[in-house]
Amino acid sequence: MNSNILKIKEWIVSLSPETPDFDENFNIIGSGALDSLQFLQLINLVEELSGRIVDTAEINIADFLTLDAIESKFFN
Amino acid sequence: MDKPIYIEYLDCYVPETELELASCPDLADSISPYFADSVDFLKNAKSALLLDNIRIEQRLDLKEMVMSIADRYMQSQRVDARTVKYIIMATDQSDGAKDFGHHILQRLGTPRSTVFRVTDNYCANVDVAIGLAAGLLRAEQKPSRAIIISGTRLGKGLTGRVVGTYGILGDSAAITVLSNEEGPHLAEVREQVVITRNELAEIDLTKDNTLLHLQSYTICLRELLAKSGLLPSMVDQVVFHNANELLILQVAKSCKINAKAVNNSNQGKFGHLGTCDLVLNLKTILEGGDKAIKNIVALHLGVMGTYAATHFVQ
Repeated sequence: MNSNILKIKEWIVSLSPETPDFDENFNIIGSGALDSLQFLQLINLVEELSGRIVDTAEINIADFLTLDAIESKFFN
Repeated sequence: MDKPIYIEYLDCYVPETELELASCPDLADSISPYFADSVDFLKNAKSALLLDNIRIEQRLDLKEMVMSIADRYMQSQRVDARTVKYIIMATDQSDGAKDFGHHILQRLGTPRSTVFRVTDNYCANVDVAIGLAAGLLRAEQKPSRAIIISGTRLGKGLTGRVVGTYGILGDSAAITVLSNEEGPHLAEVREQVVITRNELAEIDLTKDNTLLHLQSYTICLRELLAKSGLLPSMVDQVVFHNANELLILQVAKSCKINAKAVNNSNQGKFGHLGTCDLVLNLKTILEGGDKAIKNIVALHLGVMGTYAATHFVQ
């Protein structure tokens, strides 16, 4: 797992310690691991780690559903 | 170039009574299904909205709240009643202060005014009303004014006040007076962009609309910048609801507007005051006396899917 993706995973776990361990294909949005405010914080974290600004006019939920999707979109 | 339209007067009534969120008897019923429990809600209110309490009105109804500031306007301004052409009711709820426009007509003694009501855009009703008034006043050949009434008044407890994770509604009333007559004024109303999204045909706060809000706000703001000929660096202040600030910060970043321009001076003080937030926040900036602030952008949404961006110039 990419070190940035590991940081994102650690951040999610810190928010919801009760969430069982999950892999890169776990649906972090659909599972309820993140609420809407935390989703905004996730975008911010992805921007910080990737050095890219997410274009919120074109934002696609599919790009944030799993760690794998985040890695493909922002860290490859 | 369009005829300039000015904001001549702004006033807002905010009640003194504080409703402590933690001690609301109807807390548990009000937060379902958005929050897991009271602890979760109170933590979110404190960390995301900076709120321990909100301001609510216990003595006056909405009409009395409105009349208190309407009377203050009439006493403080020498208004030529003949120039008041429009009274626009733009309360949060479509039936708020029902039939009250004509009461104001009578109080002002205006001989020839038309009363409108802007509805269905909820917290964005006031934004839509400003755009409507500016258009109407631009078409007038003689000195003319429009008085916009906004406000929200709910019950004693927390019931109906929790808007998902977006904000917690307080009570308030506000008045905005626009004029096409050049004279002493607070700001000029320039361009406005309003977009509506048909995805939300009903209010359903159990749905998470963060993505829709992000997309719509960004499109709306970019269109406004283009229409106004504003570069992102020229935006001195962004005013928004006294609610979810993270949303606006993300939109501002995406539009390359400096985060320091996002004005949060009334966050955490009163709660989300619906259609009065625009008036209160604009008034706070304009009365602040900072003449370096020129371009102000207001960015607001209505829960049914209305998104409005308006450019004001001090």
